[in-house]
Amino acid sequence: MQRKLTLGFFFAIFICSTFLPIAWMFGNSIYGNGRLSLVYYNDIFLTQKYVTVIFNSLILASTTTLLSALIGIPTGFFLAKTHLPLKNIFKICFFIPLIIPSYITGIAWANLLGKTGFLNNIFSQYTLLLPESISDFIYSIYGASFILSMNLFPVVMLIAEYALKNVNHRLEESGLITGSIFQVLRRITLPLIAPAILSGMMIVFVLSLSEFGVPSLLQVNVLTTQIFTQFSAFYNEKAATAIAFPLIVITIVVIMLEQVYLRGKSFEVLGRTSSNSTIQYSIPWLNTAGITFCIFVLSLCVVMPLITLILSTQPVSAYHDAFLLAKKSITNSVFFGSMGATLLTLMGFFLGYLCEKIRSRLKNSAAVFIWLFFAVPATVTGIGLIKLWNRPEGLFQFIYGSFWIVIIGYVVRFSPLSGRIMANYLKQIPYSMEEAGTVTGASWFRVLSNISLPLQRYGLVATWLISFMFCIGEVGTTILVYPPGHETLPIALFTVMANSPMNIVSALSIIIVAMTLLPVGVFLAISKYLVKI
Amino acid sequence: MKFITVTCIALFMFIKMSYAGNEVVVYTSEDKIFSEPVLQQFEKKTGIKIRVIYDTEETKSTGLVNRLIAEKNNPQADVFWSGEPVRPVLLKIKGLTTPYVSSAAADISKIYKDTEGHWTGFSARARIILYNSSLVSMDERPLSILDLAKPRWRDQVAIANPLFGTTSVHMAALFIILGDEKARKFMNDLKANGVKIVSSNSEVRRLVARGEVKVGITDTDDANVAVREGSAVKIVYPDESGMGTLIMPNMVCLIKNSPNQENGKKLIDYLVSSEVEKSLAFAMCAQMPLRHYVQTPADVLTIAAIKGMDINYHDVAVKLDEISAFLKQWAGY
Amino acid sequence: MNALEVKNLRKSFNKKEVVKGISFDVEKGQLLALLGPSGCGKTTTIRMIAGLEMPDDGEILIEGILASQGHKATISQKQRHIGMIFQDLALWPHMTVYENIEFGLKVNGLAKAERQKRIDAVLNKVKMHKYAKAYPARLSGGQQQLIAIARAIVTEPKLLLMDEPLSNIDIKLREDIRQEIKHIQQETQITTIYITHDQEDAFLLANKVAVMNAGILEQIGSPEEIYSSPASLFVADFVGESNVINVKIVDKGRILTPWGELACNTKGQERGNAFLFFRPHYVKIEKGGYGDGVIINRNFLGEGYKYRISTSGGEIKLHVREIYEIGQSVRFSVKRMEILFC
Repeated sequence: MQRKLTLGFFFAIFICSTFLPIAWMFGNSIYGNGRLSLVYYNDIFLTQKYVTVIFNSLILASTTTLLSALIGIPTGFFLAKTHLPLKNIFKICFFIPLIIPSYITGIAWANLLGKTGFLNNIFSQYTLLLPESISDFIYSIYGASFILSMNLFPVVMLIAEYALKNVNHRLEESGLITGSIFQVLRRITLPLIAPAILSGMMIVFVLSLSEFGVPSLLQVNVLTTQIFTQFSAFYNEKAATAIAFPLIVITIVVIMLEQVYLRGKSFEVLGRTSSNSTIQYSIPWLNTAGITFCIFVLSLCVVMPLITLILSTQPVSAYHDAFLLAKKSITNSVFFGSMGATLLTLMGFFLGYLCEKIRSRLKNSAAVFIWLFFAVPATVTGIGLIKLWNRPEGLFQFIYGSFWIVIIGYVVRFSPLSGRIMANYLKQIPYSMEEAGTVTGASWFRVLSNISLPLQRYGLVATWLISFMFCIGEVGTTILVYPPGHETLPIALFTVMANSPMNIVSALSIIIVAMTLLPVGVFLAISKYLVKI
Repeated sequence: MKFITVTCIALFMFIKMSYAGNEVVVYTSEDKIFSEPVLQQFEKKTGIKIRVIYDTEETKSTGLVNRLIAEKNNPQADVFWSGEPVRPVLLKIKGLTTPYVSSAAADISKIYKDTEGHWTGFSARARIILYNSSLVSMDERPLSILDLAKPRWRDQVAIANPLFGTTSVHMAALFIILGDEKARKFMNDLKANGVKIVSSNSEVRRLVARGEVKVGITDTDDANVAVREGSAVKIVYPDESGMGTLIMPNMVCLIKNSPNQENGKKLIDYLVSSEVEKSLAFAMCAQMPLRHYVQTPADVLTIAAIKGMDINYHDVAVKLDEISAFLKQWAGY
Repeated sequence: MNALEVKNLRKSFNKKEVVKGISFDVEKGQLLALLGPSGCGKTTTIRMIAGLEMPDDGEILIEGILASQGHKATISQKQRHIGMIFQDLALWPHMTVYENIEFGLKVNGLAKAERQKRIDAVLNKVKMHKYAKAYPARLSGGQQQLIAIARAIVTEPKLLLMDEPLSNIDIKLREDIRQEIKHIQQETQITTIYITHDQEDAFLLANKVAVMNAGILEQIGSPEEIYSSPASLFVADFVGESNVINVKIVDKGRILTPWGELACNTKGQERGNAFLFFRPHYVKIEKGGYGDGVIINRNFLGEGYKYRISTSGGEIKLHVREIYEIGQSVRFSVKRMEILFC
């Protein structure tokens, strides 16, 4: 009873916060002049116009996913399976790309690879590439994919690392008796962690599908920039929502492909062992390869953009100016971010529980249903939230006029993500852990608070951190709904970006990075104690 | 436990909220670094609490206009201060504004004011050509917008996406002055000439300053930032001897049925005053006062010193709506 | 009064019926082994008894109190008063041994001093008091097993349910733990249901064995009954090694086998087809035997040999002490046999 009520409660929150505004938008987009009208949808599905755009979006998302996997899986492997020196430092540093607003990374890379850029000069001098062709590359879909994958690979890395650490070591050992490391990796380890990695790649796919900043900076014609155009140039929210529909369709197709792939595959092999029994390979050349690769990735994805940022913050007083400009928004960001992350973790836990721990046929459809909403673009969400919450009645006015609307925005945007992450963690714990508590007659709450939650503390903290990072970086929805005086850091960044000197913009970005990194660092420092067993 | 904490905070916020009294809510698309000091000055002067939402048409948000439209049924903003002269007209057309003729703006020329009082202009920017002075000499510099479609600037011109912001206003104005056919030809020539379409005016500034292109079309304030940053760039006010360039005043309007109408009017009175025009002229954005007598720094031209296009902002807004399908296709969307 | 009565219990998952109406009783203080191949529904059955799964139909009475009727629980989980040991033990890795055991007592609202007393007692019983402060992951497999037992019995439950607790440990340890379980069960007199697919476990531990197959209870009885008089072909085949031969009943007490007509209890039948069932060690090789066959396979068992011989009625298995060569012709007779019907 407690379980049904609680899960029902959180699902209801999900429906009210996330489903309603978005459903409202889509409902509205097929309703015109007092009757049903598919005029905007006809445009998308029945004309040639959008074929290229949809295709571009697909290319962007799949290239980004592939590149992220190519960077993320090896880094995850080296972090989990080799004796890399300074592992924790590497780990913290690899969080940075996820934190720097993608738009800023975009500018950094456009500067580096633009016609007069530093790297462009080097490449055109020492290779056969022309400055123009390099600059053309960065201003193309593939350039956008390149930048986005620099930003998003940590997602794959984190999940790969976690999965690799939890592979049952006996399975690998039995392979190592007869085969080389490579054979074991290819035939045993990789297939075992494939479902987890797939899940990570899926997150990257959807994130890059709904990414707006970088494609817009590089003027790449994808669905999100089309949506922006409909909103900002034509003020046509119905058309904009209609264009968001293919995003949802693509996501559904991808989810279905994933489900087909995972059908009949078992996760049993993961998580049954304690985490300190991971096999770590201590082979000199593998270590060297690991160090080389990680340093390469570090310099490409972290050092390069960071250095360009830091170099453009001269003089040091820029930090002071930036700080003054953003003082209020720093406290706002920390406060809203932690509130949002806490709420998201709570929701994520119960949504994940609903998707993973309930033995019923609804289980899979719930997971798919929740995940769909992750593909909805921020702007559609934002307008939907305004329509739903901006009402003169007391409670609505209270929520819309206070920071709660920002928090709700976070929940709408990221509860599918936190739910999915949490579901991945919950998957690793056998049903019997809870049942052993239930059978004694303990109430569900007691089982939750004494068994499930403590067992999940690592997952909870990780979910909190990831949610925190995403909340702190959220712009698209927040900028449409935040009440006066409640601006967050990235909004401060965006509102000063246009006409402030570059050094202040860069300094602000550095402040954002430092601020978001702080909790991550603290977490990694204490994680030793958290993951006791 | 968590629930209790959350409820407490909620209650606390609720109590805090209900104290809101003498205030005015303003949405502004004028850049924050310029608008904030002005608004703070107003707060200090009148004691009316100002609550602001900043945005800029340049950044990648879908902006305040969407928000104003979405909030139509229950307006939150009292005043909309726009950095450019088309969106307020659009809001008027969409029926979101209410007339207010400010006596403080009596000495502003009537071409910058709505005949019915829905919107009032003040301090202006202009569209200009920015060129990289280390790549282009003084003699070579383009003097007319139309020059940029010529072969000698092939692949060397940057312009922001003409669907958005001031660039869209500029294009609509060109269509009015040149006539549809000529303007369309100009734009097609420009495209055939390999113009680089970028995301924003500040992107144009960045590319010109870095020398990735030689010239770009942008706004005076962007250009000024580049100049003051010490980049090797110079400004041309185009078509001085011909059609002139586009003057884009800030515009302010009162939102219909908003909660604090009276305070909104007070804020409008303040914004259109000569005091604000002066302070915006001395700020980094170097905006030109619309009043001839307002004092400006040495490097800021007065409105009298440049030739402005002879247009009516209402027409521009209507024209923009008309040509936006063409612009969309032109920009490759 | 029986400690447990199960009446006509049914359960389906996704429209597939896994428990098809089973009934049985367990007397107080006894140990019932639920024996069956994997997937036969035995785990589902005890999960329903435990209250972890709701039956679709049927009744469960624990010490005479109706615990569930139809698809509704009629008493709370706490009132069922169950102790359970899971297949994977499910010791909580984030709690110490002490805390693991304490959980159930806390749930039942015992005072701290009382809890302490009981935990000390139970840890002494399983000889694990040294490890009270340890985390489960630090213990060996056998030690974890004992802690799981301690955790299950500390609340002095009315019913102790064990779901294949020995399936994950090696043979040598298995023996010890099995003895330990038997010892503890006899000492505490807690009514126990023990699930296993291993007949050795069942025979060594149980007062009674219930054999399940495909959701149906095939037979329930003492280990001896199950072994020597299986009620069905399945039981005969599943429990121990057996020979099953097609025969025809020709008259009351007379059957026709491939080796001629023999006397046998036909359980009242006078006509019809039947199966003849006999254990390998009830076959004797002797000069005057009525059947003949050829030895085709021999395996050394320790205290004797296991042969397969080919006869006119098909291959049969037998255990004898004497040694014969492969290919040798022998005569045999069956000393104890039983008739089974389909």
